[in-house]
Amino acid sequence: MSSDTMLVDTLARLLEAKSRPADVQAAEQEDGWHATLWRELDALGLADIDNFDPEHGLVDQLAVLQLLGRHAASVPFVESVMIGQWLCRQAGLDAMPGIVIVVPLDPSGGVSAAKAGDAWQLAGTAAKVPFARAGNRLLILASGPDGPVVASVDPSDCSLARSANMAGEPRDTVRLDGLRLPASSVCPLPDGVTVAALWERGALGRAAMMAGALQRALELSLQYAKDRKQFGRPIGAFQAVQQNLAILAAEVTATRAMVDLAGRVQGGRHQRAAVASAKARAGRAAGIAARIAHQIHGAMGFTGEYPLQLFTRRLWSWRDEFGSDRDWARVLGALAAAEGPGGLWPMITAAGDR
Amino acid sequence: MTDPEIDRRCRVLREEVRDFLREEIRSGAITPQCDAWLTGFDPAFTRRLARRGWMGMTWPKAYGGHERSQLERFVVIEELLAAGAPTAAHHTNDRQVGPMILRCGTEQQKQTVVAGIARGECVVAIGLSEPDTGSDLASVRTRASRIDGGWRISGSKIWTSYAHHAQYLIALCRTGESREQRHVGLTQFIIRLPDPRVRIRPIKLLTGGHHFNQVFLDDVEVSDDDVLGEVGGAWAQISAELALERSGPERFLSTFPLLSHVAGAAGASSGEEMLCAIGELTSQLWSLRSMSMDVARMLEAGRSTNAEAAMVKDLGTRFEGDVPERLRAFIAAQPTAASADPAQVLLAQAILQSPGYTLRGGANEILRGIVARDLGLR
Ligand SMILES: Cc1cc2nc3c(=O)[nH]c(=O)nc-3n(C[C@H](O)[C@H](O)[C@H](O)COP(=O)(O)OP(=O)(O)OC[C@H]3O[C@@H](n4cnc5c(N)ncnc54)[C@H](O)[C@@H]3O)c2cc1C
Repeated sequence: MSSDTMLVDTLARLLEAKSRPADVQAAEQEDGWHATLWRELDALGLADIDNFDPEHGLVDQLAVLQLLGRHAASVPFVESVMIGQWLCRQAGLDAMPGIVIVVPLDPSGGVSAAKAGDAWQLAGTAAKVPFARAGNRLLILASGPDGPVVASVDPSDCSLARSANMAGEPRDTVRLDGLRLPASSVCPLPDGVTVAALWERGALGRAAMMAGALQRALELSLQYAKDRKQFGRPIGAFQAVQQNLAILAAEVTATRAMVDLAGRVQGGRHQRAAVASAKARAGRAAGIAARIAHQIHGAMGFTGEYPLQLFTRRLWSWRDEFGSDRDWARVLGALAAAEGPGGLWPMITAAGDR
Repeated sequence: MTDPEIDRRCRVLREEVRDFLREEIRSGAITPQCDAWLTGFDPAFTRRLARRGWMGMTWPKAYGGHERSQLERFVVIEELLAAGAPTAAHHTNDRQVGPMILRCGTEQQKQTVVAGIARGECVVAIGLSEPDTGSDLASVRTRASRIDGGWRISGSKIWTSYAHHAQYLIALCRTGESREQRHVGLTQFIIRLPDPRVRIRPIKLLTGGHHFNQVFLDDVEVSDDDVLGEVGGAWAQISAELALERSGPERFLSTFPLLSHVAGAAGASSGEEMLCAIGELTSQLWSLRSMSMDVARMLEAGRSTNAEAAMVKDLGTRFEGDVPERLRAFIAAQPTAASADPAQVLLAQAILQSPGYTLRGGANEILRGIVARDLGLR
């Protein structure tokens, strides 16, 4: 698939039709995620990493994610395509059909793997695993005797407790009670893949979704400011409201610019710094934007019926997932410091010029 | 000037309230929550407070009150808020409905509604906002027309908190004719609920909670005895309430349970950044409380405090939103209301309730307009 506007247009039309606010609300009430939409994405070829160019596919993936975020689509694209299938590809594992969820993504996660003769034994718990209930296959990252290993597990062999983030999206707890696996199901983490790298991909993916959700919060607020009248005028005619909308628009634009840049510099020396910057920027924007968008909407925006909350609850949740804005700010600060005296400016300018 | 006798009584009272709340929490009767004065609807708790004499504290004994000072009431209210106690079944009634009826209601209304609130047995919903009337309150369209011996009311109210639990609805209605005199032809009525001509439609919050409602009034008939105050005089009646309504401790303590929890769990060994955050928030809070008490004293002295009250609400409600935004950095990631960790639960509550802080009781942009006018700018 090439970076073309056709893909984006097709996906935009699909989401317009199938991920309307009512569909998102229904998905939240039912399974917590939108399985039928995922099948439609699959039919478009979007659920399979092999349909994305190995070199430049990431930019397309980020474009997809911005659209998914703009429509509050509750589907595991980051989890399965950007992380799960990518890990399979890097590890040289056979492509796995369906949704592949990596457990746990958190570097501090707690599953351990021990050798038991020829076999392996896995035990431990991983909390807040995104979309675990949707997985056809779980790739469990476990700490082994000689470093991290990847264990391919059938979800029915784990015990799974359902839980959700503040937006009602699946963030489940996966527990393994001494599960025995044949040696063929377990391999060391492949060269060049670290837990931190997987986490980083998740952060970039969430930042792109946040850019989309921010965009939608802005669109809803602009429309509301035109439609809602008080004191005989649309509230958008009041300068206080205009000023807030302008601040909101700047937050959205800044986040998108940083996410786009982070996508372009993947593979470059400052890849990690750019992702850190994108996730930190998106996290900052989330709080400011949610506050302004809700204020403009008055009591209407506080309701479950009105769609704004689908986006603000996601922004409040996503800013803490795959590392918070603060976590990534710390990473970025350390990377900037590591550039040494006079190194900050070259880092910023180099990153745009790949 | 403070009166040493009142000071002493306040100190004793504060200890009593704290002991009571400690026991309520210890026994599991209540659980501290953020924004519990809005979401914690617990009539049994309200009745326990009433039995202790902590409802209608400043009201005349003849109507179930206790004739205590405003300062003593302030002590009880702020202790309840600071503890995150579930006061939603009475908070606005004790704050504004009771005082308004005492000021302009009939003897009959005082005997029934005010005394009912003081006993903790009566919930009154407040019907000001309408689908097309929010900040511009004088634009209400719900109309009350004269009929023989009373009035017939038609229209619709929205965002009506706890109408679904209420025994009465106070509805602001248009009774005058002239469109020019927007502030003149407004009258308040006390409508008894349930009424077959009053239909209440729940409106869920973004948390899924049922707090407010849309209320449809289809030719509801009330008698002349149900007029609250003067016919055509509602604007002045409502405006008089506003300063008190805007500057009370519920305008800066809604997320205090989170701050208190984080500060309580911190120690000298906590990181510098965390101590700074707690310190910054504490300094804001402390100054807000001081402002709020100044307004209370000015009101007691009969001085006008419109701008000062608006400042308390503007600063205080933004502070309420700042608490979770500032403290989330120090709480293990990804808050959920279903967590076993109280810090995460309080954080999720403080975030998910945040849209309301700077809207309820008048949006902050409008309050800043009041301050600007007082500064001579408009
Ligand atoms: C939790 C909660 C409980 C409530 N309970 C009740 C209740 O029990 N009874 C009741 O009657 N009402 C209740 N309300 C309604 C509340 O009083 C209104 O939300 C409030 O008055 C604002 O009106 P609105 O929501 O229609 O917003 P709008 O008036 O439509 O305002 C939308 C936005 O436009 C801005 N704006 C409007 N006019 C101007 C201007 N001239 N200049 C600058 N900016 C402007 C506002 O500041 C706001 O940001 C409740 C609200 C909430 C959130």
